[in-house]
Amino acid sequence: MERFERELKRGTLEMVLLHLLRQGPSYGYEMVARLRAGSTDFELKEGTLYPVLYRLESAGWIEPEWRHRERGVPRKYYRLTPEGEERSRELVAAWRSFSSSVDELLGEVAVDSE
Amino acid sequence: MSTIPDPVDRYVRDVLSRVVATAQEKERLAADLRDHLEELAAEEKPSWSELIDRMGPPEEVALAFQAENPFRYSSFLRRLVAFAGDFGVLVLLSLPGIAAIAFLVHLAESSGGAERMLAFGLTGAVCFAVFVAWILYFPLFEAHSGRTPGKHCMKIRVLRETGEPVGTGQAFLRRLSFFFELLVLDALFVLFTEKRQRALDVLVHTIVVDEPDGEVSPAAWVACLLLPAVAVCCLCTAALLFAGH
Repeated sequence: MERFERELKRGTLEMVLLHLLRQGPSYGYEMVARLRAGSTDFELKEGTLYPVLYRLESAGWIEPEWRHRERGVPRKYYRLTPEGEERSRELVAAWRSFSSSVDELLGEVAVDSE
Repeated sequence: MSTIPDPVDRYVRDVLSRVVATAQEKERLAADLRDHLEELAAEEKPSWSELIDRMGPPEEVALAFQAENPFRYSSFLRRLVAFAGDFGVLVLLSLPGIAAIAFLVHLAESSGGAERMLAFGLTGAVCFAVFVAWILYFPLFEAHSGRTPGKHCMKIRVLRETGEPVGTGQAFLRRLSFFFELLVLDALFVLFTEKRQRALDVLVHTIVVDEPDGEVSPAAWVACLLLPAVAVCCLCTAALLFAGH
């Protein structure tokens, strides 16, 4: 079950992060806080966020920007590029179509144990 | 006076020690992890164990990084040239021992009684030392840093399949073919396996990967290819000189 959940998270994390950034630029810690606030089920080991962000950056879907804080070192924010915006829409549409198909199948297929 | 490493630094270093990446990539990851940890600690003030639990253990973070940055499995040629370089190093390192053996054998043959016994005894000891050096060379280097001198020149490294540093047991086991005259058969597997593994790599779950930092220089190729030739020449020269006496 743990493996299944891990695979689900791995498969949807890109979509979730891009969708999060559609609401505005954000930085690593804030993204995790927003994920936690949005859903208790989507738990993420916070250190594993950054490799995914780097991949999204090399794909050209997000880009970093540095913002100065009142005190301390500048903070690195990420924002969606126009290509990232497009990619986010595609992924969400694909997910909605896929998940409704799965829901239909689960509704139609009788399972003995149920 | 010893300084206790900052726990944030220790965590970040622990992650980086398990990651195969360019210096720039490591620097970026280190900076981001550090910033995140400091922000998390400042905002929520968790205990250190809660902090690690939230961030994920270093090996998990390293695995997540490596999953996004797949390894480049080293080619048969690069591994062969690295082996040639190491063979040259081994022969050169053995020369003093071989010279000592030759001298002791000569001494034993020209002596009698207790001196002869002593000379033969010392010959056996030196032979054993040379033999042990040949056995330990590859496993010890690979268990320590994943790289022998030859591998260092050719910018390749031995790792576990998970990307973690190779263990001492694995380092020894993957070398067994070297000692049982199965090396050629073992090595040919590199040409046919998906991860370019020797047969013993497959058995002990190790891989050999290219370092991400740059290409191998022409000088390194030449050095690794010439070194065994130079070493064997030195050996032959020493043998001829000894025979001449």
